Amino acid sequence: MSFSPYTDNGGTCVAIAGPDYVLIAGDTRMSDGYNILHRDIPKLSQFNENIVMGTAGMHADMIGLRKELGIRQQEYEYQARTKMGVAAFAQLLATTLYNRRFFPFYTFNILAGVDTKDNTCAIYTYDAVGCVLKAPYAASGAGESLVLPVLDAELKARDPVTAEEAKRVLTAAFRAADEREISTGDTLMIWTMRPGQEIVKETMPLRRD
Amino acid sequence: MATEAMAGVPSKFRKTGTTIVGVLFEGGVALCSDTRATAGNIVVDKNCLKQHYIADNVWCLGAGTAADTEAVTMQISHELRLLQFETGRVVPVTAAITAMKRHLWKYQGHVSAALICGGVDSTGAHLSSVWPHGSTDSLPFLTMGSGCLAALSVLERGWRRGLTKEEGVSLGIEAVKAGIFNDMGSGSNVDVVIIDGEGTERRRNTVKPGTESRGADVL
Repeated sequence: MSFSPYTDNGGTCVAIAGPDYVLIAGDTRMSDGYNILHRDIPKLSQFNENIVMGTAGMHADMIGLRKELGIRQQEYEYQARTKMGVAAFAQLLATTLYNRRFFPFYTFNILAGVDTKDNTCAIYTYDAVGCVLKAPYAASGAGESLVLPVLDAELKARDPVTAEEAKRVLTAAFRAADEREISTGDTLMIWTMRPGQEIVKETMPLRRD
Repeated sequence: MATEAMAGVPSKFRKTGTTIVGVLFEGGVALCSDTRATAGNIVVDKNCLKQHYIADNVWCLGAGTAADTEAVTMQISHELRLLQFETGRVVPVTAAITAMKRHLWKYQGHVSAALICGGVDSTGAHLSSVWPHGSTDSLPFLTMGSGCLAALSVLERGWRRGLTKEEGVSLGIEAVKAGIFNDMGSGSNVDVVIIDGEGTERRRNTVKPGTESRGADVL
């Protein structure tokens, strides 16, 4: 038997941004094949009050990546004597991922943040090796292909929607993944970020089968 | 020969990543199944039926490739109907099991049907599992499919000689529920078919543990 360094722990992350809010959500199931390893493992990582990362893919690599980013963030904040902004963090995540171009972190990330300079909200989506895309909404992980078409239909070519409407769309889209994708389930964590405000953290029960 | 042409062809068809359970009780047999059908990681049917009619007194549960379980049980059902016309008697359960294992053995495992067959005839209640290669087990409680480990742990703990009908049924339901929650290939609802001396009783969606675990849209 040869060494295989990767596992897929399943799960889905979604984010939606508006002019004065950004939502980021993820389910809490961690699985391996047909087995559920844990029903309450968050996929969201908070780096400061303005930066949250959602990670699907391999859980061990999520922990490793989060640790490395945390160290680099602290280093930055000591040297610059200022809190790290989303744009800087987005670039840091891209370079950190690309540094492992030939032995990648098996993670599929979404970054949600509030830019404190101009009070705008942003979402960045990544592939495993650091290709970045700035987007108004994004999904990643096992349920990505189920969630994105719903978000396209509900949000594309529409005026910015309210945070409440965005949350309704997000839960409806996540419901699709919950119902039809087997590795997505248990609990949905939804975090709402707004400029100058604390992050509002909510949960919603999902299917446990 | 057809089997040679099929060798090495991967079977990426609709699979019933399944939990199926059979329980013998005093005077009869209960067959319980989940209702999730999957293709890879996607649920293609949230409420499919895994019970198959063999004869009025013999029913079958299927795990594996949906087309295979469907085709095999259909063929054996017709075969047994002919046998019934010939003999003019209630068909024995063992006739169904023998027909299934001969068919599956002939195809050397390429027909991916894992079956649990139960019924009542003049010699009493019977319960057997038939594996894709054609081997059979005859035991007082049985489980197959991807959720079989979860279900078996419940059956090992709960089964005893002399279970009443309702005790047997609820043990079967609990075993399938263990599969529904702990095996991602299994999910949604529980279907039951009960066969005893009185006749056959079918309970479709008798409990809905998967569906009910889904919370309301609170946000």
